Amino acid sequence: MKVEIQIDPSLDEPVAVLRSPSPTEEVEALAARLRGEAVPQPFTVYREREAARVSRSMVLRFYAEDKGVFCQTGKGTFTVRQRLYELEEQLAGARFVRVSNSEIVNLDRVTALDLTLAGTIKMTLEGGTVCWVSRRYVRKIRQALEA
Amino acid sequence: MEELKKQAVPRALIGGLAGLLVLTPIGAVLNGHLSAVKWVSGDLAQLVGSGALALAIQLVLYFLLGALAGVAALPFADDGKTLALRSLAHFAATAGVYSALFWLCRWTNLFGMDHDLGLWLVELAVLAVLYLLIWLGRWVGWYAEVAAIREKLGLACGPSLFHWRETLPYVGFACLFCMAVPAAVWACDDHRIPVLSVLYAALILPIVGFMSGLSLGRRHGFCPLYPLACGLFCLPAVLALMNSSALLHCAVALCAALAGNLVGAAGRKLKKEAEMP
Repeated sequence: MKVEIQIDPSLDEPVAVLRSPSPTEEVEALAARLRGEAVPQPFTVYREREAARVSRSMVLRFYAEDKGVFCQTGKGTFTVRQRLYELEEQLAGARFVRVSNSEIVNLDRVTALDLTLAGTIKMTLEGGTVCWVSRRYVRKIRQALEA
Repeated sequence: MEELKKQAVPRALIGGLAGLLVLTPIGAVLNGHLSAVKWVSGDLAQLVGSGALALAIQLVLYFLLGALAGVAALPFADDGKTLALRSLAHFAATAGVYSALFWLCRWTNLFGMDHDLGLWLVELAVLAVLYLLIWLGRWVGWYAEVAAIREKLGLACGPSLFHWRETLPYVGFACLFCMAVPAAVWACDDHRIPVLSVLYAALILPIVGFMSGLSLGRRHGFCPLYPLACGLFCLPAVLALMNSSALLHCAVALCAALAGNLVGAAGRKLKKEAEMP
């Protein structure tokens, strides 16, 4: 990583700007450390019995399907061993929000929101993944965004 | 479902009691055919053979109608297919209870004139329009919610409310085509044998209405305001230049533009789905 320090006497306190071509685990951890926050732990996910670590920023969504819970990232879909409600608790306060009974999405990966005539909200994530937001969760989404 | 029941029961009870309070005096006036106050419908009493039973039936129906009004907002808490099915079921139940009151108490006879079926149909149509207006109000609220979320997520603004902004360029065309063209046709036509006017109404208006709606649908999806604009713009030309039989022009313009727009919107949706990875 390239590190550059600029001295500016006009500033009241140090300002750190991190520039990165894409959100990586390293950048995310560094930003959290600079903010004095606990470093978000990456998730352990599984694919064909092999475990892997996925940082929060890489996750598009978690969803439940056929009695299993899955984690979808830009690089593929993995199995997760936690239940959705456990993930929801774990992700409380982060930019993740439950949008329906079966899905938790990363709000930083939302690319479009559309409303149908029947009041259903279509949420598009990076890469064209489509989720349907349940009206019952709209208030929660607004609260998460206001927090 | 349990949550829905929890919400529905108290609302239905309060609504039912309010229905009794509000509908009893209104029903008394309607029982007297707007010329007297009768707490029990004479027609219903005659039908069931007892005044007390007739009163009981009426009170039950008032309670049911009030209870239905009390839970009216609940179907709109859902979305998608559930919303459509629940609001349709609610409409059917309300229309059924109201129709039972209407026919059993013979509320058809007003001011000494028996309106029967016509009045009943008009009242059901008013009820349907009321449901549409409620849906419209809810939809505008949902639109505002989605716009607020979009803004907080830093996303680009979506389409305008009912695509009014996207429809504007086409409205100019509709104005010209539905108002100026019929005027020009009328001016050029032979009024004894109005060949041009017939050609315009039977061929040109539906084709151009359909094609313009199709073009708008392909570009921006379903735009409900455009067919409405086409129908409304025909009205001044019909009223100023023709007679009331030409009101059919409005329906032709509206239906053609609506059909074209729906076909265009469906094509756009299919194309988008095909482009999806």
